[in-house]
Amino acid sequence: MKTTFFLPLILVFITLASCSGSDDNEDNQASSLSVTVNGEPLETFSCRAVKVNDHFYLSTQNFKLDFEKDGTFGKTWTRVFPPLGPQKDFWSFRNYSSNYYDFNLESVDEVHHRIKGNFYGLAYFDPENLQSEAKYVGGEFDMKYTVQPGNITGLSNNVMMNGVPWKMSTHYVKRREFSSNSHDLTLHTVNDGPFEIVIHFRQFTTPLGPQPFTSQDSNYKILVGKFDVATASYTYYEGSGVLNISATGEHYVYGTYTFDGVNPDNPGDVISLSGGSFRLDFYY
Amino acid sequence: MKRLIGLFIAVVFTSCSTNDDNPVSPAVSGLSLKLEGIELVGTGEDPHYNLYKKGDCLIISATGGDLYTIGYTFSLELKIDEQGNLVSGELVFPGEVTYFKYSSFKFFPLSSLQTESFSLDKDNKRLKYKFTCRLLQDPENRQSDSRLLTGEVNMRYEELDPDPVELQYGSIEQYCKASINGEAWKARFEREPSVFTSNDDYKIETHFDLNTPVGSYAFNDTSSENYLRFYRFNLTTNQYDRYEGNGTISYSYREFHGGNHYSFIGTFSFIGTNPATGESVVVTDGVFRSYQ
Repeated sequence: MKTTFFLPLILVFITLASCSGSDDNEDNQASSLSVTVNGEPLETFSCRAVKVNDHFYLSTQNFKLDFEKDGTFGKTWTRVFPPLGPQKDFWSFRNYSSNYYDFNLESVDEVHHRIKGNFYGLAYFDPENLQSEAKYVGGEFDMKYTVQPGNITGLSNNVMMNGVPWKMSTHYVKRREFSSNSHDLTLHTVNDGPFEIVIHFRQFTTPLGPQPFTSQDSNYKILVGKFDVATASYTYYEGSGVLNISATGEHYVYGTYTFDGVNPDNPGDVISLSGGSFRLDFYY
Repeated sequence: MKRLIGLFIAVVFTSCSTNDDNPVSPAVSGLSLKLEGIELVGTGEDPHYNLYKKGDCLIISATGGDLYTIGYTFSLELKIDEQGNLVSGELVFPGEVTYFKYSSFKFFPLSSLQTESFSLDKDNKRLKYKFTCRLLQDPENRQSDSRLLTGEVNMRYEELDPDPVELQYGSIEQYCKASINGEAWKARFEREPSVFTSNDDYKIETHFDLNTPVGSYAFNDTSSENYLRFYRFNLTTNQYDRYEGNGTISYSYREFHGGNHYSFIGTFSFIGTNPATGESVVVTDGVFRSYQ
């Protein structure tokens, strides 16, 4: 009697288990992502990883991490729900991030689509202010990823900086940074190093085609900044160049550029950018 | 006990099998979509796809991607006619506050898609279709950034009730149909008042002077009050070629929509020539309901 009663339940259980889509079945190795905030575990259900071009994105509802295939860090985003008060978002520091956040990509297996690594450091309420409220966010991942196409092809900013390849690993947009004009857009492109390359233009009004500029122009220009850890601020090189926007729209801009500049605090410190090429999206 | 074991086997097979109406193995049957060679359907969390037939159009739709990675979810809709010609195509990557959209070429949609094979079995409601489609970031500029979509469909479609009104301007019923060089043609779009296009390269414009009474009117290239204009889109110049010629346009009734706006209901015919190429066109049996 007991057998007759329990057997259907057992059968249903077996049936459901056999149809699950877990990573265990697919790859014999589960994906795992663990994150702690100030030592406390963060919920990371529904974690997943995707690869778009050569960039990886790990995400859950409360945590995101992105980085380049070569191990260059992009950023982290962490959402915390305090016992009292509203939720708060914390970001890894945007500038010279390798100096402020540790990220280690241990392996990328492009045959079995797996990535493994760890991360730890302070994340800030204001990603540009080291004095803002901070949380210690750390963790590790060993995940299977899927390959996906992105919203634009070839998202990038690549350039030769004094003859050495430089490429961004993340970017963000600001409006009205150089003027009160509502079309004033500035795309800050950074990797985990001390330099940032800034693409400034006026959406819809900057003409397509090559436009010469100087560092003082307020309509469109390229800026190169070097982050000073002592002052926690950028020094921007002064000079001139050519910005060639080939296409732009509501949320994208594509183009090329060159720039030669001098560190205003050190005339012997010069930067030459050649063969610059960018394809960027932006949301604001 | 034997019955229970039999039930178990039946449940296992039923719960894990796929049926042909919603197959999951695109290589055999179902839907396969790739963007620049990267699989769109079958990747990411919770991909969905559907195939519908509505009126004389088949609609392929798919959604998927990583829901937590902004910019990397997608939704796709391709509308084709019963010959496999593209009517419209749209690929959208939604973001938190906005979205990226790639569309078929606005002025000549079917030029955006190449059909490799097409078979429509209406008896069994099955579509077999293989295509390559280029969707544009700027739907009015064929030189703009684009995405290359390749797809293969082999699945049954669900038939939906056709829209009671195929073409509207605002919410006002419209139509424009004719025989062009002996081939039936009908407008699928009226993006501007009285300007009719379809998924091919034709464009027909109608116009009446508001003081014109009901009647039939001859027109030629210089007519400025009551006339029809015929165009074909030129992919070389990226502009419409206007055909020169003459014809007759009439209206029997106009429906008042407030202000100086009416829907004119009438007929037309036109014989013309492309002055650049010498190509001629004969338009007969034209009927229209045109907002102006």
